[in-house]
Amino acid sequence: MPIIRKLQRRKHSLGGKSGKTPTLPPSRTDASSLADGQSLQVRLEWMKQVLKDSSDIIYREFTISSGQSCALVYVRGMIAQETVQQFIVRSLQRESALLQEKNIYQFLFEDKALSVSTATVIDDLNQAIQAILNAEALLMIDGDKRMLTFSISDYPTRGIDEAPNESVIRGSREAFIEDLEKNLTMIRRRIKSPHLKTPTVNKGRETRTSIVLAYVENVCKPELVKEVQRRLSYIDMDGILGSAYVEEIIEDNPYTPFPQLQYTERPDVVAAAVLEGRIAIIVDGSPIALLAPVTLPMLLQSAEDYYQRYIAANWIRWIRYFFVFASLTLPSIYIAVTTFHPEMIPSQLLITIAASREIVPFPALWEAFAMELAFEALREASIRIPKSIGQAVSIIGALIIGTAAVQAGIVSAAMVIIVSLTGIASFIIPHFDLGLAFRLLRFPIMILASMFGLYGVTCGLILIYIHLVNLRSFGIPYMSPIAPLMGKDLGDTFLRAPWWKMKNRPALLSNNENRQNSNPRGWVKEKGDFE
Amino acid sequence: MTRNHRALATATLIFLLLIGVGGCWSAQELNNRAFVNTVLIDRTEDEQVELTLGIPLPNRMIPGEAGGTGQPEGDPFSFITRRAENLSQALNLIQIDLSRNVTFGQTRVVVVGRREAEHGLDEVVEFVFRQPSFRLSASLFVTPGEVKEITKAPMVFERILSDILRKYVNNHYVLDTTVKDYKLALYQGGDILIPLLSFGELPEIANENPKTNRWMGSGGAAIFSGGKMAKIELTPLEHRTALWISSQLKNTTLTLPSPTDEKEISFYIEGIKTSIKPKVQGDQVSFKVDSSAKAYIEASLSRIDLKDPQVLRELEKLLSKDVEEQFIHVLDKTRKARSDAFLMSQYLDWSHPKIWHSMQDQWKNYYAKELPIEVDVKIKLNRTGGVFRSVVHETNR
Repeated sequence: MPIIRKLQRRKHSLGGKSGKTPTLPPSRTDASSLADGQSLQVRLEWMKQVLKDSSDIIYREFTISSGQSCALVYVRGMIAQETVQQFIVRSLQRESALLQEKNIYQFLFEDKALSVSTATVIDDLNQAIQAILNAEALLMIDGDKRMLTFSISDYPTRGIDEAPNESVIRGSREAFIEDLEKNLTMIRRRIKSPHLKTPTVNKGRETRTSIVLAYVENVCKPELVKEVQRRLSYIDMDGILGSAYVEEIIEDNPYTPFPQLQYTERPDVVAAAVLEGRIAIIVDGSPIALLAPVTLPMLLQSAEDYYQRYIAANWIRWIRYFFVFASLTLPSIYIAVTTFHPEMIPSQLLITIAASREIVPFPALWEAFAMELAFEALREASIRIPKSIGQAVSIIGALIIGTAAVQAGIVSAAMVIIVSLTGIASFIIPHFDLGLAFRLLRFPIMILASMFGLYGVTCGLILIYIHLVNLRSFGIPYMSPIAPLMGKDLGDTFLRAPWWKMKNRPALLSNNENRQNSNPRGWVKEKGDFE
Repeated sequence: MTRNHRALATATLIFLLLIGVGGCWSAQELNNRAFVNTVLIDRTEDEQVELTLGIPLPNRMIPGEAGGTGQPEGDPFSFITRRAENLSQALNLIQIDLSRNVTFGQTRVVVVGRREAEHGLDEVVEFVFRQPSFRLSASLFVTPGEVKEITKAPMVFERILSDILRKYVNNHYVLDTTVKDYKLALYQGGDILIPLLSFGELPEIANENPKTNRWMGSGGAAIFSGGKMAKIELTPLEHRTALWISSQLKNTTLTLPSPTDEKEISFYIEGIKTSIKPKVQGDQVSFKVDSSAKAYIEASLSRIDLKDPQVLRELEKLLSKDVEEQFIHVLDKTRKARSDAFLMSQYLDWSHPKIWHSMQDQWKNYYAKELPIEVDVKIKLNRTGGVFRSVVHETNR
């Protein structure tokens, strides 16, 4: 698999920016000072100078059977030792018979006759250093400027694991890992089409992180690809340690709580998105892929929606929409109704609520704020706490906040119900960042509710809505296909239409609309053997 | 930038709008409000208004308190009474003595004492309609005597008084006359029926406290004429017929003597529909009251043969005739009280506004003395119950 990827990387390399060599300090480490650069010793010295104090670099010098001295340079622990030994060192030392007949340089650099799968000829020492640091083995030989790099990396990575954050019942279990190559194979295994393109750029002055775009050529709008590449080309950081770095740089509006790129840890979600005409951005070292563009309804879809039977999936989707609304407004509606409009509550319920509030010393707003903050703290603690003592948080949370606070009369039972419902509602949102956005916006709306009642809540919601319809993600309106209304695309918004009904791709994303041609349930009309 | 400026300006304007509409100063925590459930209004002998507010006390019904202290002590409901020249003064007197703000948002029941009812409810309607949060769907009741008698009513099933009265209405045991209905009726001359409550000392409902073996029930209806309670009342039975005429009755039970052997047969009546239609021929205005219902036999002690369709038809006829007589009796009673209690004038106004306007002034007289009202009741006997023959018949005793 790495081979294919390497080839692709060469083929679709984005040119210009990606081929840039690292800037090294001049003077003693300037490669251009090395005369013609054929001497092994001079080059090795230079290399050692550049890579000095790096205890993990191995310089292995040996003499091959035809008499020239050679050196292999690589990073310890990132190279398949076995392959180095077996197919490079041993063949060069032992296969004397073969070597004597031919020119060793032609053998190495033109015929590429060493039995290692990928060998690339380079003659730039800076490029050589980059290759070494990128987990390739470098072979230098005395008497020729050219060098060979071998992609025989073998370093430990985490195995492919079950998706921890976006788990599903019927879908695939695979999740991305930190290794870019394995991540790409997971997508390629799902879309075995020559149309799936995966160009690479390298970003990060020091980290030289590979960023791969993945898209299906005949589905994705070419302008979109260009736009993503244009934005990526502006990245000039010292390090890209995760896809979130990229996200913050390329998103349209940085001053909004709402995410404008979708993230996912699931290769099947990436494959589905790419097939709809979206672009996946995969960053080396990050198990989270980014998808662009994205709309709010997309962020409310879960992978499970497409694996369950569509009737159930519809129901669950409605529940989700309802609770999204609840997570944003439930505490504020409670505050507004109890402090401004108690006549809206049925008498019996009001008496119950009033009874539970009777000995609470705080106003409803403070009560709600205290509980919401406590809940936020609990949530954060439960993520950060070491797993071994994780139980403690839930016990403290359940006992102190759930029971003791009510028993002590500090908060009312009704408020605990509201806050926990809101908490649960915010976890129903499939996209964590979106849940965070709604959780954050809850607080200003609560203040509005306590100041102006339901009028304040409504105004807050209208402001949020105005903001949402103004957002764009890579040129796509954030609230589409609801605003602007696009009837054709609504089949996968409030509803999850059955697959045999979704004949077209979202028109918003792709010019190539036709997803499936004939009637997929055409077999019903023909008489089969079982009728 | 202009776009941003405009957005900023819009947001500021919206914010300013909000400030004008209402703000923190009108916020009231639940435990700083006293929710009035029941409003009792009466008139004293020296022509003062007596206002009583029934307020539930949530602090006495905190549910499931920790440690299982069990039932909280004391009555969860309290009445506060003040007398003054008028209702506003009385309310003010109540408010200055209360630690919480009186809130009328939950008032479901307004009970008026007889003396106030005979004096007229104008003041009550004025008071209610000026309170923006007062529910216009609050039900009106009249007590036969002093209104304060109601405060002694026992709470057996419900926690608070207004629940009992509200359920009378919801279950269609009494007429649903709301404050709004009353005001609408005032435009047509102020004729309406308002349910009467009755109080007694018979221990008909199991009583928790044997010292006060009092009870409360629905006791017919007061007939209002010209906005004032008339001397003539409807008895509970007539009240049921009134419900029937105004299509508010859901089901009821009628008992008739059997045509064959005079023994009792009880009918369960349901699916009651009544329509009141004005008929105009020339300048002659008449009304037609049509009613249909379904019945089945609830109990029969008679030896009558219910298998025979002929007999069933005969029973149907008897039933319909009985109900028709009741209708006419109740209508006559309202005529006697000079009260167009079933708001026939409204029907006339809707369908023949010109005629109504021409006879608006003499309508009361016309209704009371001349108006021909045709009554037609059709009851279908659908089922005879689970068996055909009565137990008596079956066991040959």
